[in-house]
Amino acid sequence: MQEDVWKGLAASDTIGILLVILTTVFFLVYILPTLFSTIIETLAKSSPENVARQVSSLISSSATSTFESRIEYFPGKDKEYKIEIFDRIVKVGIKSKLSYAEKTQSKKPILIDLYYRGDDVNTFIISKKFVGVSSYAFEATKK
Amino acid sequence: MLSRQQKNKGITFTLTSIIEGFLVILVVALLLWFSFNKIMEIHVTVEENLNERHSIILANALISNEKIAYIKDGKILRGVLDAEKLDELFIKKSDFLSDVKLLTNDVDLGISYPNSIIIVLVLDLEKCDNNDCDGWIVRLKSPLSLSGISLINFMDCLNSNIKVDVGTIFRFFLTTGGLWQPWDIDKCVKNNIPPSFKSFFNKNRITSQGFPILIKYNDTIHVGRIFVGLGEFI
Repeated sequence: MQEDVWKGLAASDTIGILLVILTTVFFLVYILPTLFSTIIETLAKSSPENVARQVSSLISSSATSTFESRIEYFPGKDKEYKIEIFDRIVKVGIKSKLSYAEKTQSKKPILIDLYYRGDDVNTFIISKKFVGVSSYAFEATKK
Repeated sequence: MLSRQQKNKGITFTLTSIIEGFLVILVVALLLWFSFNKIMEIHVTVEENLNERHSIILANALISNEKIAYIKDGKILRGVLDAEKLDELFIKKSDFLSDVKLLTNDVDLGISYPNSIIIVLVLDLEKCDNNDCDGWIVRLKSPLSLSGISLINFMDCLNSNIKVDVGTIFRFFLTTGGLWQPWDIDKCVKNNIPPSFKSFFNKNRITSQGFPILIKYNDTIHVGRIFVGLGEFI
């Protein structure tokens, strides 16, 4: 009778330990990499380096339009950027509260003459119109 | 009676092991929180051939630029270049070959990247003689932008990545001055130093094969190609 009870105790302990091991393995193998890749992907997409490249390419690409175009670029909801466009350069800096996110700013060249300065923005709008001559406009807002 | 007590003991042991397990998870979570807030840093490094990207964008913009493209009824015909405009703004390829100095004069088409040397070549593929085609060549005007010079960007990047902490003492023996992690320097080089520093005119598809275009003469249209060679200053 006593032996049976000890057997039961050993089995319960083993089940408990196994559950903890399984939870930890599931966390380390599935949840942690997913969490990391989501964080890295989000930060990479919204980093000043990437946003400066995208804005510079979109401004430059708007020059390929032959009549009228409007491009809206929205890198992310909870992000705020400082943007300056001058001397055919786009300068982008991010305001991030995350301690592990990059705080640097990035500068990239553009094809056309534009001048703009904006703070705390996350939506970039580039417009082009051709009526005899090409004219460009840039606007940044917070969504 | 004895049996019930021993059964309860079993339950106590199991609860203890579950609580221990949760404590382990808590410790792991605390370690993660600590690493997220104190240790972890995410750097974004983009590896691409920037010259190729810029060449493609510029070639695309040139074939719809009103200063060289053919305009009919106030509408730009994208990809159709006007031979008269090319004669006016560009140098004839045959003239250029006899006097290379002609390329010292640059032309402002309103579009070009700053701090770069940009050469545009337009070839008429229907005016060829022994694989030597007639065409036009020009050096595009590229404004100088001091704040956009790669070396200044590189210095800015290094400046914004300076780290002064306990690790500085250890890094001092590994990297210059110990102010940067090796990956900080790597990131600044990759993101800011142009590929043209390594090879002036990149041998990529856009510069070797060009973009297909049409050239509009007064009475006829010829098939041609536009080539853009681009090199950024360091």
